[in-house]
Amino acid sequence: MPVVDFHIHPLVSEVIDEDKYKCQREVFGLRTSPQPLETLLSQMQEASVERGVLLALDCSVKANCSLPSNEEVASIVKKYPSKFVGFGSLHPYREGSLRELLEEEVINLGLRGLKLNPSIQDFDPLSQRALQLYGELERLNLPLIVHTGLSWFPSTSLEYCKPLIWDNVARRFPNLKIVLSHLGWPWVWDAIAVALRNDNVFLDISNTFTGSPNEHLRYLLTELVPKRFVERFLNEKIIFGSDYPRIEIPKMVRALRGVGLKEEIEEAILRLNALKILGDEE
Amino acid sequence: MRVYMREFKVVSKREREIINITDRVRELIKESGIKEGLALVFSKHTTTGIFINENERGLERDVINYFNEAVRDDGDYFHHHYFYKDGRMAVNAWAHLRSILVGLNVVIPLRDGELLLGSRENVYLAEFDGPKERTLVITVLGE
Repeated sequence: MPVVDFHIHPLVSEVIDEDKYKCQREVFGLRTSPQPLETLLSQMQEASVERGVLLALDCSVKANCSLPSNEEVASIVKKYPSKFVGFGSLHPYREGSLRELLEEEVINLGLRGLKLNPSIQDFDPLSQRALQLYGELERLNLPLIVHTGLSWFPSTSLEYCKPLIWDNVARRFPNLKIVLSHLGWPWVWDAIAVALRNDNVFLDISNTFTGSPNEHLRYLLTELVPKRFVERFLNEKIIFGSDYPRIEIPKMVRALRGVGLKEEIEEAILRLNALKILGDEE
Repeated sequence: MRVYMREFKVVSKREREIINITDRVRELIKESGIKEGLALVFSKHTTTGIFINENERGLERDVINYFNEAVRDDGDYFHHHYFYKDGRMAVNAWAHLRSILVGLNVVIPLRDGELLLGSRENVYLAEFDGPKERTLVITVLGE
């Protein structure tokens, strides 16, 4: 069964120069050397990932860098249009009209959604400027993926990582599709509560926090949250993501397949729910 | 005595794979210009291995299958926790353990500028946590 990976950071050696590597280490907190795009493609192939969502991250206000920039994401998508979908990123405190910035840096580049990480980017997700940005995204019908859950990096705000913040946003902007990343771990039930009561909120299960991917996803989807609850209540809410390069893609796909969910639920998580969010369902 | 040292890259395409690097090593020996001596091939990655064995497709599969069975993926490994040094979870104890079993280098004698390998012997990189770009080092000592 082909897979859609909704959470890939394309921090590949083709775009990570010395300055960006410094930013990757100091702002993003990732200290492993970048791999070439070729090995990202091989990881996707190895894991039967037919399409990956590439996420930009605009850290320009905090650290004058992007990991990577909207243009860099767009250039990779342009090179492999059948393999990748690109999501841009825009710090809400950037100077200028958010509408114009979105048009210039997202729409005009063919990017199809936005990635925000209030903790790493360092902005209040309920600030006036951030709310304006969500309004523009809703108007443009661009989905939003946001970091929720633990940020290991001590210089970042943990407060901005809490999933309950997004209940407020989801209710104010009911037509804005919002993906809460990492199932909000360790605030998993908070993230689930937000998703359950808002039709426009979804949950990605990217990365591992409590052990190996096998251990983590089994714990998350059968113990912390009972399997019956996942299958009955969250079957249209959960989407697959890896969080590459913080984790290898084949390990995450294998772990999800090893959870032992019903086949149709597994297919929904690994592929169909993501296609619906992207508006690409067959 | 002359010393020639050079890093070179090998890109794996599979998560677990063994890659025949004999021809690449031969090219580098030629480049070194050293005729008699020793060549040391070393991997800079603790989730890989370097070994010499027979170039036979079935055996190559057997090697991977053997290590999959010898070291379980799903063991209760202390290594599988957040690794501050990398800024990510460490989730590959099994790859490190397989690497330890194989070892990270081989030494091959040189004669007349050629590797003094047996007729069945080839040099392999074992990839235990790919696909990744790997950096290997060849050091040639001799005259």
